Amino acid sequence: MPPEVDAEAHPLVATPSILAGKRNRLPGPAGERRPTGAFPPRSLETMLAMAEAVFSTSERPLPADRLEYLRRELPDLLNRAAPRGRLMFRLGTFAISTIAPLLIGRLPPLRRLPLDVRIRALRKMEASPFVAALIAVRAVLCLVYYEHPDAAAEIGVRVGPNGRLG
Amino acid sequence: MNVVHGRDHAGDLEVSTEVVVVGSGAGGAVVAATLAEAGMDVIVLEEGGHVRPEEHARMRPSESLRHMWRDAGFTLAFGVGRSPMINVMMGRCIGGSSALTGGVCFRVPEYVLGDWRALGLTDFTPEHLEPYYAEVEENVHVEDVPLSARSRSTQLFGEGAEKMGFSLESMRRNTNGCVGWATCNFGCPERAKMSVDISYIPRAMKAGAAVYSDCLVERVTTNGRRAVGVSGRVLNGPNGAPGGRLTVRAKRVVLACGAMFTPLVLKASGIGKGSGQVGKNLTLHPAFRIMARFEERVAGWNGALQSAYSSAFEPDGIQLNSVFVPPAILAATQPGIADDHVRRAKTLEHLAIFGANLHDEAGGVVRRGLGREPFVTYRMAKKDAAAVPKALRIAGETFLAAGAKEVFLPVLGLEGFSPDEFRKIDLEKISPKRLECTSQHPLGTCRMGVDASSSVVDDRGQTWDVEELYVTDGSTVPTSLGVNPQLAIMTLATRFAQRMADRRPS
Ligand SMILES: Cc1cc2nc3c(=O)[nH]c(=O)nc-3n(C[C@H](O)[C@H](O)[C@H](O)COP(=O)(O)OP(=O)(O)OC[C@H]3O[C@@H](n4cnc5c(N)ncnc54)[C@H](O)[C@@H]3O)c2cc1C
Repeated sequence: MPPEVDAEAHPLVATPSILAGKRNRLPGPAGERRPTGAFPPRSLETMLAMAEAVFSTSERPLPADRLEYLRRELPDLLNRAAPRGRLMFRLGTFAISTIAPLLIGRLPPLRRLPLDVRIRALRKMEASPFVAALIAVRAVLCLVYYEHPDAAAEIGVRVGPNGRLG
Repeated sequence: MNVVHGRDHAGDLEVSTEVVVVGSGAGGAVVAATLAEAGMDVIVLEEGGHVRPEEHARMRPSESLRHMWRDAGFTLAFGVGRSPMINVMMGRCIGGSSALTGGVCFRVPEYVLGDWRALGLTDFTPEHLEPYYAEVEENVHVEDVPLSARSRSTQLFGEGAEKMGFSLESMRRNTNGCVGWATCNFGCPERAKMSVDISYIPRAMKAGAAVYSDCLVERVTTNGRRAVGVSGRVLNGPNGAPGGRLTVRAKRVVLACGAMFTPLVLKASGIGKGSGQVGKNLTLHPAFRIMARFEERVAGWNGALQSAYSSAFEPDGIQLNSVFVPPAILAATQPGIADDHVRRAKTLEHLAIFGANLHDEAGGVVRRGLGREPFVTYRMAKKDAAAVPKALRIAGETFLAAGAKEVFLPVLGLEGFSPDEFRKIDLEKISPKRLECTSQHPLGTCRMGVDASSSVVDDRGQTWDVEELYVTDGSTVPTSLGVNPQLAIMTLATRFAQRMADRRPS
């Protein structure tokens, strides 16, 4: 069955139908989305809690629709990694969830902390020897997040009418 | 004729053919087209899915990662000793890694061919290879990248290079009609990149080859000393999981699964134990990206993704290559949390990037891991480890000479450096474990050679151990190239294929 691709889609940011969660996707590679291999919900919650901290600013919290978009897109991406890659991410999110709060004297898990405390914890972790896990997970968050058209526009990425960047 | 989608095929798949080619990437596609055009009955089996170029063209980068890249781009080689962990990128789709390239095409440098001749591969002179290069370059439309296609990011590096006393040369790429979207690795909106899914695979099919996607080959079947087919699984289970049995009987088997997977298929088939070389001698061209922030708006995504290079530092084992990445991926390199992060992300337009590749010694080994994944280790040679700080220093200084205000090194947890800070930093002291390192060029794990004790295939690509079993992908490349390998792989594959075409399997 050939994959369905939106006629409106263009290469750099998500289209309205993707944002609405309507876009059909290609089936994944072998082993993808088998219940035992799927990216665990708890790790996803940690990633989303981290996303709220990374992408919030003092002017606004992370808009709910962007968080929802991440909730849909992240597992779709991560479930296509091979089991070892998925395990590394699980370990990475576990490290963030436990170490970041401990570094500021709070009890894990990270996702239970209020936003401002989470930000403080993650900043501390970024300056600690455990930074590698944080960088890896943040990189994946960014790579999906900045494909949201509003997030891209906010950092000055100007997509022209033909889909090209200005 | 269309690609047959294994996913849509119910149950087992059993076929007979004259030649079965496993893997549809740079090495496999060339052999399939050449043999089909020579009148042979050819079947191509590809583990990955079939995404048409016009569909890939409309994917976001993160979608391309999901549908075209192996493991969504997360494959790792584990650094042993003082080596960094290396993110090794590969394609898993019709077209293989060829569908993901920046299009860069280099002929094998003469000093590398000299190394091959020293190993006894005496045929490998530029003159001998000329007709094969010419054929491939015509088929995939290799052309010079014009100066006008250089992005501002590349221009700035070039300006710095002139001040530093070296210069950039124009690359050649397999493109036709590039308008500089700079998304080559994630699908070309203009279908201007002449990767093998656009060039060789359609030719193979036109000449009668049958191409199957979603077919995972696990073993080569042999009859004593001779290959008689392959077996594996059709990926037609739920969500593309292994389903029906795959059995192909063939008079000739060509493996072109790439340098990470061909050794695994050979090992699973018990082939190549004699030499002990299968899976060894992996070279990766470890790659590093150096970024710099300028006062002016750079918007490096306007222009060819890759357009210029410098081999001025080849004596140190360093090749400098222009490169860029889409904004979301660029943003992924930005440090900080909350305001710190968003503030930095807002300056992406001011970032320039350049890459450095190492002409490395063979330090890697591919072993069978649990399940289907290879377990890859890489020990960086001392000479290569010494080249890393040199490469970072050269690229950083070059950006500063062009007027950069801040330089960013590929080192985990390091912030940007002001010009003064950069000049003071002792790069030799940076632990290799903290380096952010990637590879797009795994090579050498079934190397070609002149005797069965030190190589896996002979100079026609045939394995020493089993007749009518050939390897024609990047794994046969005998030494590190120091330059992007796709043209070399396609050229060697053409040479192997023409020799195969001279003699039909009996
Ligand atoms: C992001 C990226 C950018 C690159 N840019 C450049 C560039 O600009 N210039 C350049 O020269 N090179 C570039 N390269 C490298 C180049 O693409 C590769 O060196 C080349 O394609 C390797 O050819 P190959 O035939 O060895 O393997 P591949 O092209 O990787 O093909 C192997 C194929 O075999 C399939 N396969 C594996 N195992 C099995 C199995 N068991 N059964 C069935 N099928 C199987 C794989 O899915 C894959 O499709 C780039 C690579 C990447 C990933």
